[in-house]
Amino acid sequence: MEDKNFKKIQIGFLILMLILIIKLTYININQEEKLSSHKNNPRLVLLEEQILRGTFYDSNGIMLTSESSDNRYIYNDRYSHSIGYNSQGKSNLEKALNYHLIKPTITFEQVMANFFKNDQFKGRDIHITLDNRLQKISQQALENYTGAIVGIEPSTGQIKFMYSSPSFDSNTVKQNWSSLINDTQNSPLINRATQGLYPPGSIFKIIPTIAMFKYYNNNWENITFDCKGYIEIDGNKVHCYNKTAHGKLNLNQAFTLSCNTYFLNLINYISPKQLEQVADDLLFNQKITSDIEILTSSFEITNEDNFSQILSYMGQGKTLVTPIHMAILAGVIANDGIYMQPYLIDAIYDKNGAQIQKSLPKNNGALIPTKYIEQIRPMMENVVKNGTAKQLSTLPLLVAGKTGTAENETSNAHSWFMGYAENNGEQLAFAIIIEGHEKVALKVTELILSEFLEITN
Amino acid sequence: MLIRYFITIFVIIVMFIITSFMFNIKLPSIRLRIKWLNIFMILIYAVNMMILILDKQYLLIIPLIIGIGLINFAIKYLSNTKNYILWYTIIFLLLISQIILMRLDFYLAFKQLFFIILGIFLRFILLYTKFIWLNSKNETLSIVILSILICSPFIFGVTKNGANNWVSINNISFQPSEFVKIIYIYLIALYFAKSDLIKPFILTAFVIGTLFIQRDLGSAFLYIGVFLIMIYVLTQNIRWVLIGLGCGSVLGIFSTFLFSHVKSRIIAWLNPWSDVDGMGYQLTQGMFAMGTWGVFGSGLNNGIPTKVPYVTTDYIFVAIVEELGLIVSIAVILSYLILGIVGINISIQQKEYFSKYLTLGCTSIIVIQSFVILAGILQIIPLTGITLPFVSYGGSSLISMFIMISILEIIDNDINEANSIEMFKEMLWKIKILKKFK
Repeated sequence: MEDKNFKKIQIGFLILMLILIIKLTYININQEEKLSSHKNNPRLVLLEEQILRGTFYDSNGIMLTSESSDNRYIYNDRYSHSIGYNSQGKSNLEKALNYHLIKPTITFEQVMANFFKNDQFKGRDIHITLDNRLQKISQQALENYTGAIVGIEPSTGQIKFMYSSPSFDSNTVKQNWSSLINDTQNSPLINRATQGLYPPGSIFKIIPTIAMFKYYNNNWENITFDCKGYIEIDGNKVHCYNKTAHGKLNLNQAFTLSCNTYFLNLINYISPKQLEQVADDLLFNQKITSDIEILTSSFEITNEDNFSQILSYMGQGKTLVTPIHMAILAGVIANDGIYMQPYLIDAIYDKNGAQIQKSLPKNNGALIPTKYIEQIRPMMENVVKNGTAKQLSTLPLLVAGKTGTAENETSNAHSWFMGYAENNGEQLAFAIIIEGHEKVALKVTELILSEFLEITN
Repeated sequence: MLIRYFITIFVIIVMFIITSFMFNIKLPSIRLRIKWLNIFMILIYAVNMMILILDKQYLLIIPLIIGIGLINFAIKYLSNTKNYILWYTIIFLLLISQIILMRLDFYLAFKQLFFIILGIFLRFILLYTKFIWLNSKNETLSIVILSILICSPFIFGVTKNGANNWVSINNISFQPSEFVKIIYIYLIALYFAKSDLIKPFILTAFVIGTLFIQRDLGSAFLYIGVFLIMIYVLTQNIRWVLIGLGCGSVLGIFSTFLFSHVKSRIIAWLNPWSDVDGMGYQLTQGMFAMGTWGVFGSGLNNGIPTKVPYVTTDYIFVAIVEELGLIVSIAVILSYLILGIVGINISIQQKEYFSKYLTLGCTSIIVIQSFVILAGILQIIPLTGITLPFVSYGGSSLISMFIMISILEIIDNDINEANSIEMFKEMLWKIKILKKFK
């Protein structure tokens, strides 16, 4: 019996213990983030009580939450759908970033302060992309309405404002919880910007327009239609807005004036399957990746009945979109066809000022070929200069977009506007929807753009 | 919070000193190192106890003072023995055990302390009665005792925690399987020394089979592991170990399909996160305890290890990771490694085959048992119910571990039979003399 076998056993023991040490270190260090913020971990409650929760800041460093625990939200209901709330469970960023908000910054001075003065350790600070000035105007503009406003910076994908009305005071969520969740009439807890699915109405017309560019490359300008004010499909009459008969129109004119019958007629040029293909290219029927949750817009018409299919060419039928999706598309058009991924979280810092995380703009490639961009931009500018959004032309900056009036299951149509603006080299893409009131979206847009003008001058 | 850093530093120093004994370095001198070891061991104990005392458990001042005295005395006494490395490592483990048990439930800590003293007492008895038990002549008696012990749960048995290996007599419960280990190793050593292979196989199969029926899968793992190590040394060929592992795996796969309780353990092992409140509760709660606080732990009394099931017994390690931190826990794992290496060294030095196998077996049991429970907690292998040697609360476990270490020490001290009888007589004489002076 040789000694070397014994020595091999010793090495065997060493290997066994090393395996244990490695796995233990992995769990203790690598898995820390995942484990400490797991919802089944009873230690979370302890941690939260011990640590001073981190603070939220807007894109200009304005403080949005205070260190007080019962009056945390300085602006009450302005950020309730973006930052969220903290009592009665957590929502939105308070939930998603909980780990960081209660992760203490430990330095020598802080340990001393904690030991001698019983100071609490502090969690990390979050800088978000929202601009408090634009967010404030959004809140004011939607004060009397139900709906949503979203604004994105096209070159970076940063979400500059996102407001859903009606909102609620994040400071009093716990007290008002039962009235909040039982209010099925107004559903104040829902973020309509990202979780609201609405029929797009006429703003959808951008998609068949792009389809025309694609399939009628050389002669889309020559395709005309004589609008008599209505079209009859399967025994139903579908009218243009206000039952106006527009006469003979080409695509540009039909887009500017938002002629329904022209677009309904396009089914003779673009098959449902082709239209679906273009919609898929424009982020329909797929999950939009972002650091916030966004519901999927749906456009699936190939298996629908004839009536639904034709209606979808003017944005009715069973099509549903989220406001933020529309803002993203406006941003893509403003950004020469390049799709920048939307994001809300800019950076995370610990209390020492060290940067823990930073979001960089993510380029997701060209969604729309430059050629089509050059063709659709003049159309959208025309909507403002001569078309359905003429009231915006008085503003001293470049504005382009598409109006929409969406019929829905109630007797009152929704009012849409999606588009972009440029001033002094700065761009802004946005989408606005007002439920149940026609034509109001333009008024709201004016308010937002006035603020944008002030900021960028 | 501040104190965590100090405790970690103290533990690192203690580990350094103990490991330094294993290598032949001249400076600083051993006396000096032992003195500092003494100081830091006492510091570790005292600082932790102070945390508990200042948290309103003023009663603990008594064990604090007694403990400091005991540590001091033990270290000085042991510095004169040959195997002080073994014993210092064990003192470290016992220290950690007492600290954590005091924090979790000081009633259990006191009971454990009683068993520690009993264990020390046993060591002396074994030392002086070596000539009775340490020889090759007790084969039949051993088999009889082993069979009685291992089957006693069937007769007097009490099922605790899903395993039927507890026996309760007059309100005192103990685990006979803990003592079966020692007798098993004795018999295997006996047979292997004579190069007899058939009886060991039968014995092993009998023991493992019974354990399976009693649902003590952890001990079954342990015996398989130890047996394979012994086979390796006997045959000097890794081939048999691999075959053994192969057969074991096949058996394991079969039993997974045959027995539902095995199957549910395998599923809980592979993905505890899919059933966090049910099958996966034990594993995931352990993970939370180990993964929330980072390298230095939460600090004694700051975490909630009490939310983890069996945290005073099989799962005590997660309390150590949670409250005392990663570094201290690694020190605990290294302690078992040190015990393993020193134990094997003792084995190497033996000339008689029987002694070689006996020491090899005892060492392997301690190391493999630690591995089985720790690997289960860390989700490396399925979780089973066995104790962490010297640290888990459990009288039977602690006593049997003490016995095995004593065996190692006694064999190492090379006391042959004649000497041993002499020592016994001498001791009796001393006692009589003392009696006369009273």
